[in-house]
Amino acid sequence: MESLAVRWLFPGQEIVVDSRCLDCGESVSVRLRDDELIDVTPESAVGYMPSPFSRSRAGSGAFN
Amino acid sequence: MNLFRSEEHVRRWPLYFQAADDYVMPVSDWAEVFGSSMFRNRLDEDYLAQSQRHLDHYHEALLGKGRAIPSPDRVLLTVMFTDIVDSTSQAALLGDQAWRSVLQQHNEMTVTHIEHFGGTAVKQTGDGFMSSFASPTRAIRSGAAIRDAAKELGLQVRVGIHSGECEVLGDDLAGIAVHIAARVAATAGPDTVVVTEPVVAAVTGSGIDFADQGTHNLKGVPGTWRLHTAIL
Repeated sequence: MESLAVRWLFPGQEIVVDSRCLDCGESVSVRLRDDELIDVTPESAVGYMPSPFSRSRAGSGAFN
Repeated sequence: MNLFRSEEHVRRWPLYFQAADDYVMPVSDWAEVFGSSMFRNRLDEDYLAQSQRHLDHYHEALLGKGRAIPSPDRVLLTVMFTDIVDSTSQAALLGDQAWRSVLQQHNEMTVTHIEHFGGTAVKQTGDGFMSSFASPTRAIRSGAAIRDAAKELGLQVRVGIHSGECEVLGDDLAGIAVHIAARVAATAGPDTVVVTEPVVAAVTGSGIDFADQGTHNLKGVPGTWRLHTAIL
């Protein structure tokens, strides 16, 4: 499951996603609780989803 | 999804591939998208039954952020349909219990021969299978192996194969290429492997010979289609 959706497995609890920028390796941190986005560091952080999504899951299912 | 410190970092990432339907959004927007029921309700007992509603909700969330709905992924594949000939009278002849046993052996045998040749059994279709292959030669050889093994079970099968772009929907396939392969199988006689012209062209040099079966109208498919029987 996507990291930003993990919060739904822990209702009412604060979830911290500690990641690294794939470009520079510096920290990217996201704190969430249910519907609330508590903090994003740095504020400029973005998410990138390649689409079609198969580009990140080659070899699955009907592709073989 | 991958996280970056800013949009500028995404653009200079060596693996960034800019396309019309790529998505770069602030984390706050993604947090809302991942708040849609498609993710929020994943643990619901009826999640699968409600999957279309959840998908719609996910698309609405993307549209709400000014993003397009992801277009279906299209890949070039070879699609094969197999089907047992005259299964109803076979079942009547053998009786339910014996027919179930034969059918189970047939199903296991078919999946084995699909996978042996590098294919994927996409789904069962009545008394047959829909499968996909990266290589049309492998699909033909798989179809012939299934045909031969079915004879040992006292069965006859018909096989239809077509190569074309398919829409990938999770583990399923859709699109006109899938319909063509199914229609080709329906035209095949007992113990024959019938393929379309694109398959013949694609396997040139494979050593597989074909007998021309002339042109056919395939129900619901535009145009006429030249079909060939694989000789092997």
